[in-house]
Amino acid sequence: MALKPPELTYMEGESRCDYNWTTGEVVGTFLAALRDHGKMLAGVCESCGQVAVPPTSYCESCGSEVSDLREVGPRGVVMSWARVADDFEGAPAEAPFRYVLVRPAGADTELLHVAPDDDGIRIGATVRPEFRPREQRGGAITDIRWFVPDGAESEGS
Amino acid sequence: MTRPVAVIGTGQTKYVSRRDDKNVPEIVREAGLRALADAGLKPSDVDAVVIGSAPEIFEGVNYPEDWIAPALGMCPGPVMRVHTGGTVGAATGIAGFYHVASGAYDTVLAVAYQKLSDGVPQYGLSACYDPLWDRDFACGAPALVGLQSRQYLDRHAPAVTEEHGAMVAVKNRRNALLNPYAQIRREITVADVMSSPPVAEPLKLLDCCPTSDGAAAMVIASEQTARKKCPRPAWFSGVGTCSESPYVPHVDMAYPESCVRAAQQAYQMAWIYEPARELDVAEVYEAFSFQELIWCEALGLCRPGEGGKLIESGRSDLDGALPVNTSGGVLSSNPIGASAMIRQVEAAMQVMGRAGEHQVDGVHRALAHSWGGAIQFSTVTIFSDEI
Repeated sequence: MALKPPELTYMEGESRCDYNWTTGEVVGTFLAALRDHGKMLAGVCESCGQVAVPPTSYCESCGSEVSDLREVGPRGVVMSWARVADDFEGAPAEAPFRYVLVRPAGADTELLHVAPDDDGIRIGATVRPEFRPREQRGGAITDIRWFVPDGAESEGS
Repeated sequence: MTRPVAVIGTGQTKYVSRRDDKNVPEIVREAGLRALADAGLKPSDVDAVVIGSAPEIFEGVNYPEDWIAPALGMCPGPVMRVHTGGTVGAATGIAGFYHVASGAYDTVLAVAYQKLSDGVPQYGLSACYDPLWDRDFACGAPALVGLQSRQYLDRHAPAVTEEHGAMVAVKNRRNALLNPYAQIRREITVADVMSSPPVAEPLKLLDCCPTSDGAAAMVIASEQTARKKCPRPAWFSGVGTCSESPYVPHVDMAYPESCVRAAQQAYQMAWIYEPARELDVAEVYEAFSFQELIWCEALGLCRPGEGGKLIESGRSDLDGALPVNTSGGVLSSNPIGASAMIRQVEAAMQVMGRAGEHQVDGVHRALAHSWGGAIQFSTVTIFSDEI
């Protein structure tokens, strides 16, 4: 029998899944330091010396082991930013806000975070993290609410 | 070195925001059968199939290769799915190349697809991030490339401006008017782009690609079969792939090392010393306008910081000395998993002389580039009209 265009062109469905992502020792320590001490820790590579934040137990630059952690920041330099004007589902902050890449003092890498929509957020600007109140922190990168301008520009970038 | 391998047929579906008439396997079949017809072959002539698509979360079907392979008409038979972020389409073509170059197979069908309308694309993109830190930021593609573009503009200001990004969008949308497969076929002006709503500044709506449903396919064959079936095969003369740290902040997004290395690998293999002079066409994966300039610099098609000069000069226009994105680019059509293969398909078509209304005269060597993931996957494929 010949086909004619069907009425049922779509089937609805939904997929939802719960996860418990294992952090590993290094990442677990980093997250606990955010929650318990309001500090950012970086991993120091025993071979090439790269200071990476957030840290991994393996050096992403040279592949060696990383077990040494060191505090970095709290201040950092803005390496880039992007302004989001409109709210969207799952957004990390209320619009308007800015995504930022921040290189904490003492680190060789940048971390992704958010910032207020402030003209003080520009490449080369010094920023500092604003942590959430202790009771609201759960051991996540979002224990830092965002990075805010710290006043004086850093010299050079 | 490997044995000679060529693309001898290509197929595409017309890219649209929503295919209402066909499901995923049927769309892939459409492109696959077109590629076989273009090659003068039947499904039974295919020795193996390589399938590529972006993460399962987009269509919500795990290991879709078992759903799709039978639609290509050669089951039971060897099937492999590959995945490498946004470069997957190109990785699929490259895997097809490896299948034949190794001597293991003679004729391979490589297909890549995406049906983004079946799911929620931005959620899928955000779920690609490491759950341990980046995922909380839902930093989907526009925000990520917003960061990349800002870094690029700031580094080279005032030589490169937002208007240069707009010029890329204008050029590629104009090229799309000559590509019957392109999704968006509507001319725009620089003023249109500059006044379009902001998405993730400096990106505005018209700096951004659409989301699309569609598929692309290539028939990849040994020299023996290519010489028998194809008057002008597109020989794989250079292939380069590179991936760097997947953690988004560790990459120099304005001049990615993975892109530079993939290009070097491909140029070395293809014996190309001055790509800007020796290439006739380039297809680069410009999901967002500024990326075309960034990739051209990292690929050595112009000097670092001279992306603005390149687009302004007209050199990368369809009638310029080195046309870039003759297909209309990703800015005109973006079925994510297929987008990188579409770059290869266009480059191959240009060498084969099958690009119809957007055919550039005298193409001997064409380059296809792709990026993916958190700007850390890069591939470069070079086709040539001679071995």
